[in-house]
Amino acid sequence: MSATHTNESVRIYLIVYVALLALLFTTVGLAFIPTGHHAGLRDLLTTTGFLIAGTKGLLIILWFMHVKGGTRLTWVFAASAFVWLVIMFSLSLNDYMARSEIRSQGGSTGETPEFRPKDSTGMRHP
Amino acid sequence: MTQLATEFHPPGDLAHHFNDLEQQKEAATLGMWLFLATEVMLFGALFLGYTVYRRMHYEAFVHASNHLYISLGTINTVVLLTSSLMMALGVHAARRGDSTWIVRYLLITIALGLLFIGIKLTEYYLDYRERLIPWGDWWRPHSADSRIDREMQLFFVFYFIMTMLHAIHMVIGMSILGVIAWLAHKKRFSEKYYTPVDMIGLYWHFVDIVWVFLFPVLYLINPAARAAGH
Repeated sequence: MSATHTNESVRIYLIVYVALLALLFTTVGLAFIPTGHHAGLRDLLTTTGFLIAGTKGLLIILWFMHVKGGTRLTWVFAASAFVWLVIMFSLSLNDYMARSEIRSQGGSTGETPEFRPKDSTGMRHP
Repeated sequence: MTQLATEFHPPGDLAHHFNDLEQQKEAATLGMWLFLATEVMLFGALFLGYTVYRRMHYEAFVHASNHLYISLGTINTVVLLTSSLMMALGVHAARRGDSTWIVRYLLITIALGLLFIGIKLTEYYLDYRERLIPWGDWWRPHSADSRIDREMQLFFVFYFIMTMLHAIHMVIGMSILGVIAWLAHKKRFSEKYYTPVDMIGLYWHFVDIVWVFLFPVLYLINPAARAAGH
C-alpha cells in the first residue's frame, strides 16, 4: 500500500468524522427550535432529525465499515438488514396509524371502533 | 482421508476449509454482517415498540425525555464517534501491518468506551437521585396526573432497557477489543492477515450506529418545550 493511498484513507476518515460531528451539533441545535403548538413544524423537525441520524449511520457504514469498497455480496448482506427493518416498521406503523384514524372516525376513544370502508367501492364489508 | 490429514494446517492464519486468506476474509465479513443483521432486528424491535408508544403517549414522553441530560448525551455521542474514528484508524494500521499502532488505537478505543460507560453510569446515578427509575421506590410521581405519570414510567422502561442493552454491547465489544489488542501485541497479525481486527471494527461501528439513533430518539424529543417552561 503506497504512502499516498494511506494518507488519502486517513484524510477520508477525518472528513467523515468532522461531518459526523457537524451533523450531531446540527441535530441538537434543530431540536431546540421552539415549535409551540405547530404540529407540522414539530413533525418536520422530527423527520429532519431522523434523516440526520440516517445520514450519520450511512456515513459510518460506507466509510468506517468499508462497505463502499466492499464486494457486491457485502452490499446485499448489509442492505438486507435494513430492508427487513423497513418492512417491519412500515407494516407495523401502517397498522397503528390507521387504527388512530379509525378511532377518530368511530367517535369517542373509549368505544371499540366499528370498521367501515370509506366508500361503497371498499372491498371489505362489515 | 490420509491426504486430508496431511493437508491439515496447524492453527494459523488460514483455516483448512478455505482456499486462501482472501476467501476466508470474505466469508468472515459476510458472517459478521449476517450477525449484525440479527442485531439490527433486535434493536429494531425495541425502536419499533418505542415509536408506537411515543406516538400514543407523546405528551408524557416529552415530559419524561425532558428529564434527561442532553449535555451528557451529546458529550457521550462525541466520545463514541471519536472511538469509532480510532477504531477505523486501528483497522487502517492493521492493513499496513503496523502492530504497534493497532495496539495504540485499540487501547484508545477501549479508553473512550470506558469513558462512555462512565458518563452513562453518572447519568443513571443522576436519574436514581431524581427517582426516575421505574421500579418500586426508585420512582416517585413526576406528574400530578397519574395517567401521565404512568406513561412517563413507560418511557423510562424503554430508556433503561435500550441504553442498558447498548451498554452491554459496548462492554462485550471492549472485552473483545482487549483480546484483539493483546493478539496484536503478540504480533499475531500481518499485512496479509488482520481479519479479527476488521471484524471487531465492524461490530464497534455498529454499536456506534445504534447510539447515533438512540440519542435523538430518546434525548431530543422537543427539548424546546422544556426551554419554554411547559
